[in-house]
Amino acid sequence: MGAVLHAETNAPDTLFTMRGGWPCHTAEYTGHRLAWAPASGPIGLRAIHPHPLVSATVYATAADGLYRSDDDAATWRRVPLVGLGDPSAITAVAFRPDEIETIALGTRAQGVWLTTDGGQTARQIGSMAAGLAAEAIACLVYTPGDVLHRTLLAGHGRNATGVSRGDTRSGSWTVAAPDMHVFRILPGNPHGRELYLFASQRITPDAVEIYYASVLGAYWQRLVADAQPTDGAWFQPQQAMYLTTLDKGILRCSSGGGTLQELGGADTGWFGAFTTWDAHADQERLGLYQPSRLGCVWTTNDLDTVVGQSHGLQGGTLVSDTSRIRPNAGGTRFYGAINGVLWIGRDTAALRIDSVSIAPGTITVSSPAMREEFWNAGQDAMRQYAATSRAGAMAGRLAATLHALNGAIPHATVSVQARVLSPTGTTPRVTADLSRLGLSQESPLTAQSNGLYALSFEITGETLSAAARRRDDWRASWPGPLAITVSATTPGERPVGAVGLFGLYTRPEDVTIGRDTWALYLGDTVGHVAFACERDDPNQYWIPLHQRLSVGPGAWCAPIWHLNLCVNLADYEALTFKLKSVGPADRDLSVHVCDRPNDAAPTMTPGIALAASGYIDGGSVTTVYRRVTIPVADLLKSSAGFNAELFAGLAFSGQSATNRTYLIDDLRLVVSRSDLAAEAGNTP
Amino acid sequence: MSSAWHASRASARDRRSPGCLALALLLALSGSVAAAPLPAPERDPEAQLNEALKAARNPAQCAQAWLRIAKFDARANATEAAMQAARQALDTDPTNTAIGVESLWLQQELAARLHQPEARLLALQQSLGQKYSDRIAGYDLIYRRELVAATLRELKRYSELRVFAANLERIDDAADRRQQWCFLVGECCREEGQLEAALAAYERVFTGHATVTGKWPEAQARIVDALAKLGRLPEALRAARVLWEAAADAGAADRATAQIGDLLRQADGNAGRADAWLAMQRFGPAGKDGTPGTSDDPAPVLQALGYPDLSARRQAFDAVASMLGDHAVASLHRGRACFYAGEPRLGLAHDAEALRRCQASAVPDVARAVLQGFRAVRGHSAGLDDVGQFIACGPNGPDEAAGTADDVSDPFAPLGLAGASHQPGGLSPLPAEEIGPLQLVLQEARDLSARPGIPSRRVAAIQACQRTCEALVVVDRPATLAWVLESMRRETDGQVLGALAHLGQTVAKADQLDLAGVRLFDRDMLRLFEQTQRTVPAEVLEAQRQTEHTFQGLLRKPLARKP
Repeated sequence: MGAVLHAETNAPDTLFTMRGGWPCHTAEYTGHRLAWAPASGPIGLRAIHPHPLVSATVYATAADGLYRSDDDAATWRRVPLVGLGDPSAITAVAFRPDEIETIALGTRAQGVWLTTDGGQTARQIGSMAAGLAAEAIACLVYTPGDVLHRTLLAGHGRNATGVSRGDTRSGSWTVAAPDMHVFRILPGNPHGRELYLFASQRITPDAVEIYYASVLGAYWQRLVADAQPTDGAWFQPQQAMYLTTLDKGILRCSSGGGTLQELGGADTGWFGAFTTWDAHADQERLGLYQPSRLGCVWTTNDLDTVVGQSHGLQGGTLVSDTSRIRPNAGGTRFYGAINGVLWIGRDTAALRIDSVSIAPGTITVSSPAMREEFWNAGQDAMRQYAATSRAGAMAGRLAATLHALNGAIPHATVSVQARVLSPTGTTPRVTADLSRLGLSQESPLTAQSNGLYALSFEITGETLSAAARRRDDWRASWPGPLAITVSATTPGERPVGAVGLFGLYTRPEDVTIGRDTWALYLGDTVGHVAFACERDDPNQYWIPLHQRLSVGPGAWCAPIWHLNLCVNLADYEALTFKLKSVGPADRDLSVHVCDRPNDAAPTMTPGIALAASGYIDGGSVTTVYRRVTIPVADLLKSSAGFNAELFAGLAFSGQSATNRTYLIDDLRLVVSRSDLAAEAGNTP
Repeated sequence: MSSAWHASRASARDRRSPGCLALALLLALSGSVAAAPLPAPERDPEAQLNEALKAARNPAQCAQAWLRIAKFDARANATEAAMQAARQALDTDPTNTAIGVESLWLQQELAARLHQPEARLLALQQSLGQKYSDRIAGYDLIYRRELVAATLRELKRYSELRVFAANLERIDDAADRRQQWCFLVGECCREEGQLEAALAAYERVFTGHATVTGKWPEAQARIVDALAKLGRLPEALRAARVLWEAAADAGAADRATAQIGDLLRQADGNAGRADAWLAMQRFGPAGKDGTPGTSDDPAPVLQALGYPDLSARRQAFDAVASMLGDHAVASLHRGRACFYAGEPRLGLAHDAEALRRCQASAVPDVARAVLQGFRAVRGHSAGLDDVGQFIACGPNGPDEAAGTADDVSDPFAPLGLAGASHQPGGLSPLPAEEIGPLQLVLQEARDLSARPGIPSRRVAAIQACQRTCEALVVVDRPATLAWVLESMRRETDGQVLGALAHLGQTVAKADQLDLAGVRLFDRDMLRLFEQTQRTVPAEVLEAQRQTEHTFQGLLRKPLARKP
């Protein structure tokens, strides 16, 4: 055992009020004050993995396997992981964001495994036979920005070079960054696809460096050479990644790797970083762990002021550099895996919210009900009805529309439960701030037994749409984990609060590319080509646009780029558009898709002949619009080098004997075949 | 390019400042679409225009250049030169209809500036011809037609205007405009002294355009005038009676009262009946002393006048009555039609129907119509304040307690208009096949408004409920009000609360002829906020204040002035 820390604090012990933007806060909350104590945990504790959404659930890797606790680490049980030969060999844990019980596991020598039942059973989803760079896994994460949450990234440490990228559905793996030994992969901004790597070059395997890439497949930018990085965390309020090192202080990386700043340069021995919440979800905190001096501290302003949270925590120079502190979901408990011993930190206030749980833990909203057009159509129908002179004549149609709207709202009942510990004789008023969901900032919880307070409310796709639409809301929007604050107040006292999390996700939407006239442009052309976005009637701005492509004689190719399209082509079912010619058409046109790594050296897939391949209705291009539908799978067939994640545009090519003009309309990527049926729009 | 044109441009040059030229050029160029190559803006604008003209490679470009020159000159106040250039543009490429439309519009503007109505008319008529009218947007077409009519009127070419208006009465696509054109036909006939033809046209304003009320008061007033001019005073008096009964406000009623008085004097050659008529209007049937049966009681005049033959109107009104709709405005329309058809009691019944179904915010307007209806039925304006008080307070009077001194007798009861409606839709029953869907809309919209989400969508759903209540008239008031109050108890959004407050008021007033129920609901609503210790949102307060304002207005304001 080392010294017991009492960290310095130079920040006020109450949280700030906030009066600008949405939401405004005028109440001053009492901040958390943690007290730490060792707790009984798995023998030979290696690392602690709190569940990212369920606050009471925490996993731990130990010498003899994977352990799980569902009661805030009070009791532990070893999960069987039936199917995995040697459970003790687990080296990495990755929680699937939208499924509570699905966890990917990296092992020392058996590749990657997946459990979908919280550890009861496991099946192998990654091996060298399937394309994994090595069976030994050093780190494992779900690919950031993958809306379907089906791809994983694995690093292999010194055992192999490269980042293995695997599809959990198909079980196939490919290897990127083949020149690097990757020790740690850290996703950056949760709403982006950026990645940070702790890695070394193949030729200098001992010199660990920190790299940044805006997306896997993009250029790896070296941020720091020859460092001893330990950990990192994205801190949303500062829009920056904070990387801790043993030798270079804390590195603050922002602006997409463009700005790097050293904080506390003289200070060494930073073991870890994490983000958590104080008493309110709108008060996110960056937590840092430096056992040799400060212990565990929270800051919001790059260490200008810190709040010490180390009361009772083991510190000193004898703490192993593999020791880490991790908060649970919502930040009501903190777990330290320090020198193989479990430590637990919790708030010590007399009136406090001990835990907040939200069920269900995740909600995935399907796309049709989320479409604004769907709602606008219903809303327009109601407004027309309210203004009509003959409501009776419209009633039948409106009733059907309203019935469709009522039926289409994907609704779920969400329950919030909080355990409030209060001094004897006081009955606090407990409320939940549901403003993130477009609901009340002060939704009351009703008292149950034993200090439990509960609230149920209905959540709909439209609720979320409304919440997401608030432009003045400065907080990070979903999809992703949403933090809900539960507050408790007694008369005359400052409120206390705690945060609960639940995940809100959507299925990918169709992307209508052709509507973004401001973003479409022609580039890297071959032959005589011209391109314009135009309307049938320029005076009628509401009429959707079509694209005019004019080509001259000879071989030609017209790549049409989208300025900032950032979708993974593999998430979609098909590329579709309507096509016609003005006058005679060539016998066949070909379509390619293009990627754009680093805005340079794009890759174009081989052309697919529309008529010859039978993708065009009626078999050929004529002077009337005909629908073209190309399955994405066909576009990606034999497309070596093409990065579907960086889809940036499509190209038409052909060979013309003379001048030709083609009109393209309703260009979009669709997520399902059923969407193709909805030709004109998304009305109910 | 003619030398005259150069000369006019040379003379115009001296009047322009360089800044003005640059601005004019910019403005002129901004309208161009596909044109000849544009000169650089920093050079002399006039030279640039000339160069554009020289560079024109085909008639279309040449015409475009002329048009630019015309606009340039017009902005530089060289009106004559602009007119020449605009005509040149039209002549250069007569097949180009787009340029033609633009040029003709410019020509009419320039002609107006030059005070040349004939030229203006020519340009407008040319632009409305078959060749160009397809290129003109709908709203623009309406404006051009109105300009033609105004110009013809200015030129006093009434026969042409009559043909023009008669044609538009036939082909215009909006019912209100067709009625206006019909009225204009009557005006032309009147101006030409063809009063019989004018009478026919004015009558057609009713019979041919029964779905629009806009021109009815004016047409009826014109009928009275025409008959008086023709010396057919008894007929004029009968028409004036209709005008008086149908007067929609106190001012119109006053004017009609005075007109009847004048006609009576003319017809009788003395002031006997006229004075009795005016005394009736001023003091009512009890006369100045207020006691019935005394010598100062004015003799009734109105009934003796009789009605003109209005059977054609009745037939026309009956034909469209069911098409007018199921809202308060439609009820008022039906009421208006009855007044103009010589059936004031039925008219009042329809106005009362409008009062039963209208939304709370519309009560002041509908109450005004009801009061005027009472005036028409009773034959005088006296005692209308009691009607206002009944609408405001109901039978229990301001103290809301039955059997007290301030109780108000129901003015609708003697006319057989009191009591609840017996069927959905009230006096104008809804078709059986519409009742089910309306009730379904009420249910679905209620469900939709209760789902959390975008306030605007929920407000739209609540407004749909409100509109449905207006159509049905007969609703399950207690249950619906209980639902509204319960929704308000749970609701936190101000917009939604405001919409619920309006819905509650409409439901509280449904099928009622007074505001007592609405005021009761308002009190329950405010008590709800008091009980739950919540601040009353501004939207709810506004709804409540609106009711109170209407209430006070009905109690205090003299809604029908005495003559």
